[in-house]
Amino acid sequence: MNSMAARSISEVLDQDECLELLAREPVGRLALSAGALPVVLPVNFTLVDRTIVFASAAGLKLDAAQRGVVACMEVDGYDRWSHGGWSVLATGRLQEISDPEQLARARRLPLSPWALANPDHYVQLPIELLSGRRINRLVHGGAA
Amino acid sequence: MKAVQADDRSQMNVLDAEECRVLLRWEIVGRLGVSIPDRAPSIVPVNFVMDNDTVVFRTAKGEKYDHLVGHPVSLEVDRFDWYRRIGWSVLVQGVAEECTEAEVAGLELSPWAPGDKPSVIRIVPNAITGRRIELTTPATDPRGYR
Repeated sequence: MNSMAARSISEVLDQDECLELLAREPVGRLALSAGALPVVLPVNFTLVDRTIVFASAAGLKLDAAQRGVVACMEVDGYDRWSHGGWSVLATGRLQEISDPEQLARARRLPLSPWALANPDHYVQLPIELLSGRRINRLVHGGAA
Repeated sequence: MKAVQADDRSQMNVLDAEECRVLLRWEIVGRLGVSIPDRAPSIVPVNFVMDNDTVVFRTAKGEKYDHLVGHPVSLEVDRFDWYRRIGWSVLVQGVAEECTEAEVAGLELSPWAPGDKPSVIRIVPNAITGRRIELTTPATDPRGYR
């Protein structure tokens, strides 16, 4: 069953590529541990320098932000025909944005919290660790 | 399906478990969420298949494996249409177990990522939850039908 695996290669993305991909994707998946249980939630976010910003209603994400929990945001893309793809993982500590000036800036960001008419809260994740990789499928499998 | 949140443009509906299972069977890549003690949780995309109501995929024996077998994990799948701002997501939560090759014979489990991935993992769900954000149906203007 590993014949297919032998025909793909994995490459590590550099920091600039990771940031570029993060900046391009409107939706990421936020992973949090609630208790010892990992939870993965899709989030519409925007990147401001090296900080991920998103809107949040009361709930799991906001609770985590108020507790300053370490979390990660993942973005990816894949092709179901070629079986190639990439993913980027950004890790940091969640914080609720409470500074009035920062909050005013967050409200002007092109964020559309889906199905959330008037977001009450904004959360940021300053990126501490950033990594990514890309998997390319070699079409003829002969390169190796 | 039940609306949990709505405004004049879109509404968020809760999907029932059966709707979630249908969506899961259509998808081939999900994001596996694993908790790591004293560290940030990790998310990795995996190609998976549904075997009855369980999630099955291959992995290597590595750090991910150590935090996987016997532990609660999550698998998330979603689709979004950024232009219309609609989409759905499904979250499977359960405990990961290792299973034998015989149990999964006949399932299409070839990993997309390179490297040896000898372990077959099955997530037996404790909970399957999902949401869909869709546009609300506007009031019909009868002039459109003349």
